[in-house]
Amino acid sequence: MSHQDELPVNRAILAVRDLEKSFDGVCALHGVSLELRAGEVHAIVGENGAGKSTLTKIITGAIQADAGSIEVRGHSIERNDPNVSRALGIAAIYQQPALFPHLTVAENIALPMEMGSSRQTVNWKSRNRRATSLVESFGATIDPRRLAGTLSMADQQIVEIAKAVGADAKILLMDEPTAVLTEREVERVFALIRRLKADGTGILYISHRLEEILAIADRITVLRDGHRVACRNAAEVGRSELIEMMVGRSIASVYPKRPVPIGNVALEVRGLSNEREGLRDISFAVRAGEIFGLTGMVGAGRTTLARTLFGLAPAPSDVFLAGRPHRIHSPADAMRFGIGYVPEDRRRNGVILEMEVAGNISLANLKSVSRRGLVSARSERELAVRYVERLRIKTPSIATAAGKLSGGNQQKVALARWLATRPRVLILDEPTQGVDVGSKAEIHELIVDLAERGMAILLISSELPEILGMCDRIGVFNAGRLAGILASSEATQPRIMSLALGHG
Amino acid sequence: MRIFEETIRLARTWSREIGVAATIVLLYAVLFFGGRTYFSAENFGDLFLANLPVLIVSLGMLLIILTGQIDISVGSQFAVCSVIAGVAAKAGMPVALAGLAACAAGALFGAIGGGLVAFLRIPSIVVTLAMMIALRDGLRWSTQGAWIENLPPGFQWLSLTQSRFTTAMAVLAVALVAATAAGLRYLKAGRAVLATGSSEAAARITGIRTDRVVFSVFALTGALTGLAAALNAMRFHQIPSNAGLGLEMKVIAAVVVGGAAITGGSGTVIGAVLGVILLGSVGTALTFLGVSAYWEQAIQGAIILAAVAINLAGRRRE
Ligand SMILES: Nc1ncnc2c1ncn2[C@@H]1O[C@H](COP(=O)(O)OP(=O)(O)OP(=O)(O)O)[C@@H](O)[C@H]1O
Ligand SMILES: [Mg+2]
Repeated sequence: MSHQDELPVNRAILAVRDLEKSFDGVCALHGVSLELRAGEVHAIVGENGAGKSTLTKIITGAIQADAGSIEVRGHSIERNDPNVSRALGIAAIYQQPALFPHLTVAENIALPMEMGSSRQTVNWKSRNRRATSLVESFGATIDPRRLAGTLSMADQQIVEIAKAVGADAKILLMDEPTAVLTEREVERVFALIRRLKADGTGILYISHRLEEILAIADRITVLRDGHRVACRNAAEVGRSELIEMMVGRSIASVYPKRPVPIGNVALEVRGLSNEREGLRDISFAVRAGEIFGLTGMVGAGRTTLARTLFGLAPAPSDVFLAGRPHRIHSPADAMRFGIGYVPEDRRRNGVILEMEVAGNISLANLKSVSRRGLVSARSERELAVRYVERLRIKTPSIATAAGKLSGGNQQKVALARWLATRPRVLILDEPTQGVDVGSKAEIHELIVDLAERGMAILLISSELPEILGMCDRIGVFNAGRLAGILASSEATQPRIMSLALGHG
Repeated sequence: MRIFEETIRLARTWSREIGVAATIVLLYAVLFFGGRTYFSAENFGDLFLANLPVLIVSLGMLLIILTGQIDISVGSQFAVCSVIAGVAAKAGMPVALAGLAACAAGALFGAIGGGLVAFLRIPSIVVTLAMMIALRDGLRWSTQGAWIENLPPGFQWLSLTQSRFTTAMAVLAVALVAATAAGLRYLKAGRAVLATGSSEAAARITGIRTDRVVFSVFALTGALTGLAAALNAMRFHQIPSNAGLGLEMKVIAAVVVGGAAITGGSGTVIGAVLGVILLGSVGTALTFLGVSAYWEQAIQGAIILAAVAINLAGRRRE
């Protein structure tokens, strides 16, 4: 605790003191202080809704604190806003996507810098040149003239990172920059962080992947319910201690997988191809009670397969459900045949931000909460309360608009909606992305429960420990093909990686 | 090979504009074989002057739509500004000053509407609907429906000959179009307009004052509406008190036919201009082709629907 108190003040490039912030009477930050040194990676961890994103937004001036002070290199900022903070060398990668979908990659990268300068015109040539070199320095090739909205999630994230880095920031705030990236891309981000660190940039790093935190951070600040509960040297804390500080209790087993009786084949796919969407000759079968993992690089075809099975991408051939062939043309078809789907990009496809939490949860379950064709407010409320408790969704009430929840809690709302539908086959695309450790265990528990009741589960995940810990069998994608299917007994991290990279 | 790829890329980015341009070419090809008389310089001059207000106002409307807003009060603003220009001219003001008065009045109306939308966050459709009714009825009440007549000499045609006036207006139109297009592409303020419409949340954290952007495009559109009203008034001996009826629909339709997304963030000046040309030509063209005037509106509606459908299909493919 006392490390930072002994610190000579002149080495801190950023210091925030006693920040207070509430939203409509709900306290998000309470007396939070923190110092960031030059060349340091300072991680912030905490449960969903602990106040991490709020803290970063206050530092960039995207929102204003109710009380407290921010000092950059010893000078306190009087009135903060995004232009002021950028002029002081602060850049941020936000948890919510902050790209302009209709504008080009080059413009997305250039705009923040230009807004801070006094020049009134823009130069397209230099914009494009700069964007190309920035993206390339990151080991990616993205046409700077493409519209940002047409990029994959991973590429969009790379543009976000390029944008922040391009601003030549001395203080870089990264709010879950790796949530949508796979391990290989995460390695690239880390390489970049090390480079920036060597140049003396101070980095505030937020993530729910504790392995990442322990690998990259120098110091760790733990937030709980808007309070700072600890600030420690990363070398001095272990994973379990960290978890305990975050959630205020210990979490016993990380993966609660139990053996459950495996039933008949619930879903079978035979030689499914879709050239236009890049899927080739996919065959596999999932049985009732089984958890079938799908992994591979981002863009290898996992999500496309899920979308095809749910009728969101054109289905070129039949799918066998309980042995009977069906052609799925739309999500309504899929739901009728007993398939449920939790999409990956829950920020865009998941919650309805203006709608209250209860409405969001009951949306796919209107039949089960209705009496004689009318939605019963009571059953709707009961359903919502049940899942809010079960998934530990942090919300002032079930009548709060979903858009007001923290990023991770929004994800949990979307998850609750589909878990509540009780389909025969449930496809989960990255169900624990951006979710804190405590809730993650809760979600894993719930998935195992569902399998135990005879649901067949397709679990898509980029997190290998999750795949290895949860699944009975694992299908590994490589470039649109199922490169191999491994039983959990024979699956190891290196084997999966080599299949995913096409060496298998 | 590179040139080929580049051509494909350009064709793709400009596919909407190319589609509208192709339709215009097709329309004129049909006309060419159907009724040669259409192609007289005089016809073109008349057609141009009749559509000049739509063109000028659509430049402003494009900006408003790019920010994700809408203004349906431009028709009523147009009526009030016409009358103001006439009254000012009759009161003995020089013509330029009368025109300026109309612009200022328009800017004021735009600023009021824009202020309510931007700073009080009232939806623009509500604000401008109220403004549309208030201005129109206020005008009816204050003029009692009377037209403004006996305008001073020198007001009509700016004391030029009609053909000189037409040429001057053509130069002005080209200048306005070029200025808007260049401003939108090369000025930081122009990029802020697109950014605001593409994602307001992202714009705000990028440091763009989205409220000011929205306020400004409404005020600017008001000023353009005033200008259009003054120039239009100069074509006649008197000024009706119900000018600009339905102007808002023509303008919005032109912008949308030109490929702008009604949800903001995407659209071009070229597209809007092509939209004005297409919708402006259809009506007169049908008359020349001997199609009953009753069909005109229906066919315009069909064109708008087709354009929006094609536009949406294109977006979905992306
Ligand atoms: N715009 C808002 N309106 C109302 N409440 C808000 C708003 N933004 C955040 N909150 C509340 O503030 C608290 C902290 O939210 P914050 O987004 O900082 O959490 P977080 O630590 O980033 O969580 P996560 O890990 O889920 O991203 C939450 O309880 C959230 O509901
Ligand atoms: Mg957050």
